[in-house]
Amino acid sequence: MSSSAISPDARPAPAPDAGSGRNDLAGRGARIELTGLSRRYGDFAAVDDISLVVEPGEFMTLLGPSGSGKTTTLNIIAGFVSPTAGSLKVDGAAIESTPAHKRDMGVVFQHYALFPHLTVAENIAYPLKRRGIGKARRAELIRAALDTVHLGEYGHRYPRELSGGQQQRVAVARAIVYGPRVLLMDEPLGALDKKLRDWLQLEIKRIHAELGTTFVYVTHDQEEALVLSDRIAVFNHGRIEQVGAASELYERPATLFVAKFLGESTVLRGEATRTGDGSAVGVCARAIHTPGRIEGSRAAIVVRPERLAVRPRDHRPEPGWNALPATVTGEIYLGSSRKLELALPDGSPALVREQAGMLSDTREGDEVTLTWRAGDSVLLPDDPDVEAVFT
Amino acid sequence: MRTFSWGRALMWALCALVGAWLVVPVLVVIPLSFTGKPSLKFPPDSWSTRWYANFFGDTAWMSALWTSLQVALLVTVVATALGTAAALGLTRARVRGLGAAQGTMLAPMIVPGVVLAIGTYSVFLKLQLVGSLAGFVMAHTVLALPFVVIPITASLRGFDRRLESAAASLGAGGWTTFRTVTLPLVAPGVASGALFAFVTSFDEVVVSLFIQSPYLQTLPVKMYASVTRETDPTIAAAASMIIVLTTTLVFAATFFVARRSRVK
Amino acid sequence: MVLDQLSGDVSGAARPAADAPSPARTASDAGGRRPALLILPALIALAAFFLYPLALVAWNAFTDPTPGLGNFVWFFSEPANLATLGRTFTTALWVTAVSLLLSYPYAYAMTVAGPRVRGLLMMLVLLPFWTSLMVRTFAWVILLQDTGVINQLLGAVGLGPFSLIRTQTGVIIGMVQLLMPFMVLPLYAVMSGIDGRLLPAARSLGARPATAFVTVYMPLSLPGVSAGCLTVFISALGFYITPALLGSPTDALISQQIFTQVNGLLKWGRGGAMGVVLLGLTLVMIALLAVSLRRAGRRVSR
Repeated sequence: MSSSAISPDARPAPAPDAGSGRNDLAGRGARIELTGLSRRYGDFAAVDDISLVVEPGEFMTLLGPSGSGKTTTLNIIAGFVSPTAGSLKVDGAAIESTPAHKRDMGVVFQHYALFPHLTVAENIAYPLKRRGIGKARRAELIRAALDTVHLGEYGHRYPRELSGGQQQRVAVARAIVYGPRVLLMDEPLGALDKKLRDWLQLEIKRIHAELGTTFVYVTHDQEEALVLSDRIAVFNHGRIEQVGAASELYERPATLFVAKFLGESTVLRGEATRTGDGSAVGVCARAIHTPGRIEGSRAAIVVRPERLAVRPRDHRPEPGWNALPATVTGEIYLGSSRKLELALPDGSPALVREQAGMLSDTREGDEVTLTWRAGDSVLLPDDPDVEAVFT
Repeated sequence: MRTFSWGRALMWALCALVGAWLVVPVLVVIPLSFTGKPSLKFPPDSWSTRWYANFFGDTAWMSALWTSLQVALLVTVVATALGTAAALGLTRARVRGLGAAQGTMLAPMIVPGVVLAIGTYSVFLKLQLVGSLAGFVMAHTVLALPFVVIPITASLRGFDRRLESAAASLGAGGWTTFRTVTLPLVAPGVASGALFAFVTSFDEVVVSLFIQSPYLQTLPVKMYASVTRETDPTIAAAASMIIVLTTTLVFAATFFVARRSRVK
Repeated sequence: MVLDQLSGDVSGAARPAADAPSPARTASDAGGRRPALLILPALIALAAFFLYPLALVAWNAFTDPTPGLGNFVWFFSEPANLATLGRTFTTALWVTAVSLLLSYPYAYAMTVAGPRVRGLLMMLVLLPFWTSLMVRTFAWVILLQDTGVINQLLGAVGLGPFSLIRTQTGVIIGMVQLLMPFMVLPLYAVMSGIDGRLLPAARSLGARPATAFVTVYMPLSLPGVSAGCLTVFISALGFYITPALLGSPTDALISQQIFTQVNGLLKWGRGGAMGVVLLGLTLVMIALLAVSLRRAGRRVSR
């Protein structure tokens, strides 16, 4: 992979005009607005009253575990499923009653859904023929689409003659060739192995930058969401738990579910009481301070592993720092960093990540003190259902 | 997607009609067999079981039934044995001409019945097999063979041959391996092949019409003669019993196979 | 479920691929020659009671009563024979076309129905499939009578009576019902293998539902259409019992003529010649279809 179009930055700002003029298929992305959208099947709500705005040219990822409603939401936008309540607007125009074939959106399906009886070029020509585009123009657009996905020489092949990664790129080419305002992708990399997935993520990112189309991308893979997205909507039980840029979700999760779904963390549970400058939560007979405040008293404090530090047992915390005694139960060496697994006095687990070059000389079995800044403690209402999702 | 569409409504209406049309005509026969009058008028205006009594009291009908059962059972045994052996050979041999052998094995399915019937008739005239039990059995066996070979070949192709190597490594000889490992695992294929053989023979009319004699007729031949010559509702009784018999047999076989595959 | 698999097989749609046999591993295989002996008993039976009879039919056609092409000259020079041949062909075509028209939506419905409805639809196909041909033909004799059920029903709505029995219409009605399982089963086998996401995919690319169906679904269902049509068409060509009982003796089909020549008139040579023509036609149809299927199959499955 040598394309210079790939930005080294993992999260570029929304850039509707990035690369336009360079790619023949580039166009303007549409604004998508979901308001109070629901889809019920009898008593079961697959999508439960969600509202979301996707800005023009934005890369929005719908992230969540399977059955959380993200694919149903995508299918509602695409027009394969009709909502039972709520409204759906594209560039300000309501489209709930527009049939799928008139929505002018590109869809990349999980298993590609390439037509097996048509060649690659014929597959890509399919949407152009439906739009009555002439033969000469068709050939140009097919060429442009195949070049965009780096499959210039494969037009005459049949889908079965291609590898999974190539089929996936044909599916993308077919979905972008007619310059749709929106590109919807449903776990497009789900069936591929890790290495291919990493590379194709960069390809999708590059195509997004070149085209300036609005992308809505469904995945259950949080790492993929972090690599690709401008913003991420985290789904759980048919609802959106939080929408925001990756850093926002990671640093300031709105719910315990978001905190646990994105990245690793240590969760400390206890009773919260208000203090002058925030709250104090009782954990293992000690008061843990946090600047946050919540309704109710059943609280969970979330701390990211790189925010935690390991000190000797007799270490005295500085003012504004929290401290808890802990026992090291395991270590995992990862090259650029090291993960330490610890157990708190009440038996609950904790996780510390130390950067290489800054490793403490802690070993398995050591009795230590765990410290972190009070400001790094994210206070959230406790949610007992969350454990069920992750175990 | 779930909204009402005229196309869909039309499709389901057509399905209901076609489904009824597939099954209902056959069912007409059953009430007709209980008619009180000696005519095939439908619907009957009076009822009786006299045609069943007639069937079981008439030596011609009874001997036709007996012949059909005998022939069908013998065909089941012979065709299943020949077909199983052939299927084993077809899936495991590595010799030239295997494709031709397989083609020959399946050919009786596509040759028009009348053409084979006049050929069989002339052969049987030479061999003096017309009107003989052995003649019926052989003629029906070749017709049944493709229907035996196809399902057994299919299950043999789905069979993991490493299991046979495993059995051999555990001390089983060739025949023991076949009997204790191969056969039990391809048994559903063999069972459906046997069922097909029975039904093929029991239903066969065209070839049987030629190789019958006044002294040895199968049930379908007797029915054919009855339809063409007389309007005797005894045939409705015979037909009803065949419907009940084949339906029961098929359901039993389905149930048996379904239960077996659950056990597996 | 085994029934589905079976009936699929029998209808010719799902014939096991003739791939190379797996390499012999056990000592009993002896290099793959000994298993070949297992085929012999069946082959001998087929040679004696299938190939030999067919050869004799051909032999009679060329030698009875005198050697030469006389029987074929007779067949192709008698207008009545050519009319019979034409009638047989058109009847088979009608039966095939009507079966396809009725079976295609039926098989499609089976693929979109829920498991219960699909089971019911499948049973409605399998029950007649397993019921004796003689019994079903007999049922049609009853139904198609001038005073039979169908005319009574038509009379109730102020139509008819039509003469159905002893007409080509009656023969076609009966044969369609008798042969429809052989159309539905291969169609269903192929249709149920079509990826259900392709139609939504086509619509997302801008195809109206009808266009999506015609440009994507129908081409992919073609192998089932050809297999079903071939099975029904060649069965209809050689059908004897149904035309004999439902049709008119004056509008006989070729199989009835063969029967009459041999059984009634003892003209072995003429019957044989007609048999050779019928068998030849059948084989030509199969060859034509095999070629077109192979061409289509290369596109899809390579």
